[in-house]
Amino acid sequence: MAAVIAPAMLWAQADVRGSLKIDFPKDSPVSVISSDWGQSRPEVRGGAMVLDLHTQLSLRNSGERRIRGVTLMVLAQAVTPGGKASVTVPSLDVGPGETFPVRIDLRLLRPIQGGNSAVQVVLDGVLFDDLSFYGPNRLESRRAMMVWELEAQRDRRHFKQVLEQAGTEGLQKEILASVARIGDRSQFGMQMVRAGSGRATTYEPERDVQFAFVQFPDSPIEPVSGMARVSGSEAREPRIQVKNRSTKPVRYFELGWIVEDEQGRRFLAGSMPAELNLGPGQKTQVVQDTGLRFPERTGIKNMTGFVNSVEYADGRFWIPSRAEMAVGPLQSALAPSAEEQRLTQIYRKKGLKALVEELKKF
Amino acid sequence: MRHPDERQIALYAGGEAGWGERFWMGRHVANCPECRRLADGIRRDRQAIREEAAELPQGLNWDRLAAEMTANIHVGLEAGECVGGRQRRVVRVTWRPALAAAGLAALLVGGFYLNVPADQRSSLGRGVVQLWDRLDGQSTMHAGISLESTRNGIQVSENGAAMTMMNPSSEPAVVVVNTRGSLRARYVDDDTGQVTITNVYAQ
Repeated sequence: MAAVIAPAMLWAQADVRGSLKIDFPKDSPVSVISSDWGQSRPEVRGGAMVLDLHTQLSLRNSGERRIRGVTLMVLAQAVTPGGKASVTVPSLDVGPGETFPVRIDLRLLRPIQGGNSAVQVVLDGVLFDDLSFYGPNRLESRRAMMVWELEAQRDRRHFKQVLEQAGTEGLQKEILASVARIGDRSQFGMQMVRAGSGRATTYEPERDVQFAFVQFPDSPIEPVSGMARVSGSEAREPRIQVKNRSTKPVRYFELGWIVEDEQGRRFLAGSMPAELNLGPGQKTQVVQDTGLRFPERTGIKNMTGFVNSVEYADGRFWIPSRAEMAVGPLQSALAPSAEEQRLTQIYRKKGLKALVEELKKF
Repeated sequence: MRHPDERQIALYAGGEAGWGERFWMGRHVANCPECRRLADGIRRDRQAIREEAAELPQGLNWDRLAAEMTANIHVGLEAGECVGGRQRRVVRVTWRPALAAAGLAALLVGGFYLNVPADQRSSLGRGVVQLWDRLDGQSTMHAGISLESTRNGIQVSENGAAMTMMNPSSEPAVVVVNTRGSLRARYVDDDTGQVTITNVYAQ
């Protein structure tokens, strides 16, 4: 055994720095300035090799527009041939020539004699302040970063209004409420399951559970009805009927999926995206062959759905307002947006004055 | 004495009669002056026709003849182009050999498949299903891949190997399952203060 492990360790130590290959297009508006390897190290555990890669890339905005978000795709095809990962940093405000960090922390686990652990990092997309986009978009990162940027604009506008109307005291009160929401939020371990895979339990009877929907008056998409098959701690194969009640065709929407367990705890567990071509007034049913599984003894009691985002056929987006998100089961179930989380962190780490300064930047 | 008819004498005189007939005719012509005269006459006529055919016509102009032949060849080639390409011969496929070949192919593929070790067989099967789905325009998840959140982060794993996007934050990440085949985690980086969103995908 030692004869196998020792060479593998030596090889892996020599290979850590060569494990990460960063590959950006020549015309990319983002360039790599440096990469810091920190505490990357290999480790043998039983019959497996664990390779922890911790790197902080220093990237420069080499374009002429301000950057709002970046998505990097991470590929380790020799370890997980069908799997890939990504790292996105939204809510950025990086001017031309400025640098910013992106951290990549990943762990690769493979059999000792299982080949190499090369990881490739490629650029998937960059979102600019004028909402234009650069990149191959293989992970549909344009759409995701666009929604996060619209949420960021909405939330910054809200906090600036609070500051204008209620001053710093009002802003502090609002941000403390956000801190409390983050602290109160439940989070469970989760697993994605697909149709046809074995059920978690065989003694729990499977039943159809109807979704309750939170309706937003100005949403272009109206969820009409829906259900999923639930068995114990598992919910799968959601089927949702929706109607386009706007005057424009819709090509994409995403529903949020809130689960309430038997202890009455609610949290956002899933999102159901759907690409379609739905004309004004048309109805359709969205069926997905996957689902989610929680740890054992987390019985699913109720499910709630709501429209999280909509993309019209002309490329414009709709997202719900903060007022709409602050009602009913959503208030307790939803985590603050990425931008609200960032602003909250500024308050916690640097104080109210730093938060006010940050809001004034936009 | 029975005389042969004119056709038999002509064949004999031209050397075209069969072996038995030639023997019998030879004996008859030798003893019969009438038939011998007829046979000799036929031979003379053949010889005269052959000699006449061998002679060239009077006043033949070789240059003109060569020019006419060249012109005829060109006319023939152009006429051929107007007609178009040669038609391909249609090969008729009979069903029995085709069925036999298909059966043999099925037997060979089946035998190969059954002899592959079980784990490699399942991998091969997954590959075929993926290829089929790709040709069919469907984007389905890789059957052997699992996505889950762990205390360290979110993980994509397959056949004992795994890639985990770690959560280095001191606070738990917000984790959401995307029903199209991915898992998302969001946290605030303690060092940089940046919101970081990681995803693992199974497709």
